[in-house]
Amino acid sequence: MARYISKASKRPKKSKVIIFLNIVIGMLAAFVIFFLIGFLSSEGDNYYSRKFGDSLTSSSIERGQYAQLINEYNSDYGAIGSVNSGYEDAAAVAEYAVSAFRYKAYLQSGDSERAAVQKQRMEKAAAEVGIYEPELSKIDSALDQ
Amino acid sequence: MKCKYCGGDVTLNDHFCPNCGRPVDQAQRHQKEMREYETEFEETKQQAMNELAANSGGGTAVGIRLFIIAALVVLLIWMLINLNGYTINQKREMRAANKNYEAYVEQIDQYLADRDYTQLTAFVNKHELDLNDKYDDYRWIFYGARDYKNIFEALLETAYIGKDTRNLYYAERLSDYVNQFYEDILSDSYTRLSEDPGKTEAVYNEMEQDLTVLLQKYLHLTKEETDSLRGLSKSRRTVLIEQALDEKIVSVTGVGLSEMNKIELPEVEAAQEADQ
Repeated sequence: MARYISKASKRPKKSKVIIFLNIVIGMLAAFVIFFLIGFLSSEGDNYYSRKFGDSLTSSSIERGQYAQLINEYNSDYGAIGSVNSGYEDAAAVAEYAVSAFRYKAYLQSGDSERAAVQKQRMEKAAAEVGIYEPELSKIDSALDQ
Repeated sequence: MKCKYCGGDVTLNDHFCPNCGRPVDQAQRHQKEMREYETEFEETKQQAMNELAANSGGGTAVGIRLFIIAALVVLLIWMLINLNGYTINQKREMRAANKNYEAYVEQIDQYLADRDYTQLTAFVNKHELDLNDKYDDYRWIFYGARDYKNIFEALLETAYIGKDTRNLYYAERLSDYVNQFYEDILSDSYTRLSEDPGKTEAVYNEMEQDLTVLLQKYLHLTKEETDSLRGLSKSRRTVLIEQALDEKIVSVTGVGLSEMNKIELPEVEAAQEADQ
């Protein structure tokens, strides 16, 4: 009997329940890790840190899509405030287009004071448009149609 | 019990006969058996204690694992609901807006002084100010500025419409935006709920004045028509805006708004494909 007792007192094997629970824990931990990796490599930060030029299509200016250009400028640059390298000329076109849009409206209404402010902005932007200088006359004529 | 050698009285506890001094075999066997039984009893008792401990230890192990699983499930659900880049950054912006309240208010007032409501809206959106209770004083101004920005963008599209334009996202909704603007500025909600209704009303008037100028220039509305917008019903306002918009579009493209999207221009399609 003493021999029987000493054999029975050996450490028992892990139960199947414990093994199953360990597997479940491992799978859940893997989910958490994959999720975190996915999150850390996601583009989630871009909404608040985007710059003018990020969503600009290459031919927006050439195709005369000034409204789209201005919208992107207002949304991506405006209050957020940075321009991707290489897009400075396009930003100047957007600035000119929106200032001209306001200028011509104020001029027609007779609000010379506010028109003068916009005229200054137009002139400043016009000096910075670089290769897009031919667009300025297209903008002016589009606004008069 | 008697000693087998001398017949003297002995007990089971006597290893030796107290009378003749010889060993008492029966007593010695009894003692040996008693020791064995005691040993067995102790071992059995120890075994029972061990098993009891092992069983209660197993229960703890299962309990701990179930607790970990529950915690991981809760963590996963929380992550799926809350953990995305937008939400985290949104909260960060809101904390920054609380921390920098005075600087942000100064910036807002500067936009209002410049009557730059499109940039004001971009600033509000960037810092999530319309969701922030701390900026309640400006809440109704933010709503008006958002309406203004929508109309402004629709008029930009209208002003820069070209012969090959086929997609007018904002301009198509211009009458809705104008109606929303007037609904907001004519609502009595801001007079009841705004901390400073006089300031809000003054800003609304400036916005309306500015939009009137833009509508006259780019939608070719007369002064009488823009002056009447405030008093018109929603449906009459819609008719007025949509007629003016259609006339403007026809004058540039040769077709009305409803026909614009049906016309295919090969060169435009090719350019769009090249962009993609």
